[in-house]
Amino acid sequence: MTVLLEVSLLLGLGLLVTLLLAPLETLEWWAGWYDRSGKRHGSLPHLQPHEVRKASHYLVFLDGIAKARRENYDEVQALLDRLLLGLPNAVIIGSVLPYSVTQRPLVRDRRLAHYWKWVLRRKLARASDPLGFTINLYNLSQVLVSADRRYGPVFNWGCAQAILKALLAHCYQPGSGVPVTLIGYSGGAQVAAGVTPYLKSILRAPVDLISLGGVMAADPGLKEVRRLYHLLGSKDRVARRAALVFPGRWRIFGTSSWNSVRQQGKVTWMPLGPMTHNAKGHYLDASSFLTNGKSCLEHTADTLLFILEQPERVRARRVRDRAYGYRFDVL
Amino acid sequence: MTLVSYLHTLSQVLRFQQEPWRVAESWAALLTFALAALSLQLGHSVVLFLSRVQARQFVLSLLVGSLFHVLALLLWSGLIYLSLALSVEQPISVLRVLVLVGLAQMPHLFSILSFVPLLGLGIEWLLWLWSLLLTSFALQVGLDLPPLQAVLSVGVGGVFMGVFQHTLGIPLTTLVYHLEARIAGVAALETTLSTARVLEVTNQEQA
Repeated sequence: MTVLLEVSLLLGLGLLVTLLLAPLETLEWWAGWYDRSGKRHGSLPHLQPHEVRKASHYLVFLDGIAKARRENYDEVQALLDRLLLGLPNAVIIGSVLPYSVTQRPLVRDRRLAHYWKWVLRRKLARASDPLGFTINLYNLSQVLVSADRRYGPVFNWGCAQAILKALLAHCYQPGSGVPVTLIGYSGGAQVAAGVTPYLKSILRAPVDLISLGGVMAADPGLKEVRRLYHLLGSKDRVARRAALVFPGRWRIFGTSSWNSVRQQGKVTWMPLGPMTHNAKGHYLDASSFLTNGKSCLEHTADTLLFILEQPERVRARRVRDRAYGYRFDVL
Repeated sequence: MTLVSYLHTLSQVLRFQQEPWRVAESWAALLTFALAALSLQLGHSVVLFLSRVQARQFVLSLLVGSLFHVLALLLWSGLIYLSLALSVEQPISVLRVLVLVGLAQMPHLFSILSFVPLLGLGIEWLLWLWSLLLTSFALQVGLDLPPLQAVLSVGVGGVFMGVFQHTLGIPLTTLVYHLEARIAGVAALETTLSTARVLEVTNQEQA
């Protein structure tokens, strides 16, 4: 019992230190402490695309809190590959690190890079490795930074810059009006909401948000979203509980940005069937199957493609819903 | 008094035990004023980061800001003494009130936790509440006041503080703000940043 108490205390202390240090990367970056020459990092990227190439749609995938490096996990890459096959005229960007304003992966250029590398190796060898959860915990602390009204505007600006640079590198023409859709997976949805006002203002284009099991606060950035699709599995307890953690998501705060966009009819809840958040049968699980015979990954990809290809059909066929404003049943 | 006995006092104070208020020592109160002010300043250091203060000025700003916090806490103690002097018949030593209010600032030793994202502002609010309750308790036990009288004294002290801040305190606050900005090496301190302000600052810099 004593050992259990000591371990719990140690874990609690570790969590507290992680939370205390969480805003530092963002704040030091904004203050210009990373660059000894005194040059700020919060500057606008040059708005000149690298080359001209026609694309009808730009998708930016912001991964969940398990992300530790620029390369995607196999299941994430499988989803992006499916989207690319289904949308030949779209550009899909999956290389942005949503939890670092400096775009430094956990496994490189950091004091604890060796630790994160070791943990990632263990996680890749065995997905259920308990130490692997420390990656999620670290990134979760950055989600809280994004949602905090003191740190959020700066953190989200850092991430918005990374997205802007990636879009320009993929030939996006600011002012062209070509729509941008952010797909936020888990905590990536919060970052997506936070970066939206910056992207909309600089690109002068509509920004849609697809939340895949999204964990997000009532971020002020939601007000700038053109449409928000909230894809949620019935067994996803993480995303549901997260909605309780952020008071702005509660219905009693009628003027919060979440409730405002909900009342404006911008939000469409799309139940994805009995999918979980990260356990077996999660959104990107290719080895678990639904009653329609599709794997979870296939069903998620098909739903995303349906939204992206036929947004007007979704809007026309959705029905009123008390909790989210509108609901659209895919299954 | 050693670190161990200070930590012992801390644990007793935070649990609303009566003993520390009866044997309260002035150096412990002074140390608490200083550490609480530093912790409060660290918790609020986001202002320095948002204002893009350089690392060297950052440390100096923290120290000077802590000093101003100590002065504010001493003022708060003085106003509580004033409210007591106006309402209590028995003679009360100003030093005794300073010591009691000083020890009651012990929850603010944890004010650095207001730096924690999302939960920080709630934690800060709870620490203020805890400290206010402790101040009332300290006056009640340390000065043998009836509970209602102790609560009222803290309340009246708070009203005095509010009146001061909106009258004589205005030029003083402005002066302190300008001094802090000057020490930080910036034209103005940014207390919060909106999305529009971030873009404005960035555009100004590029121009």
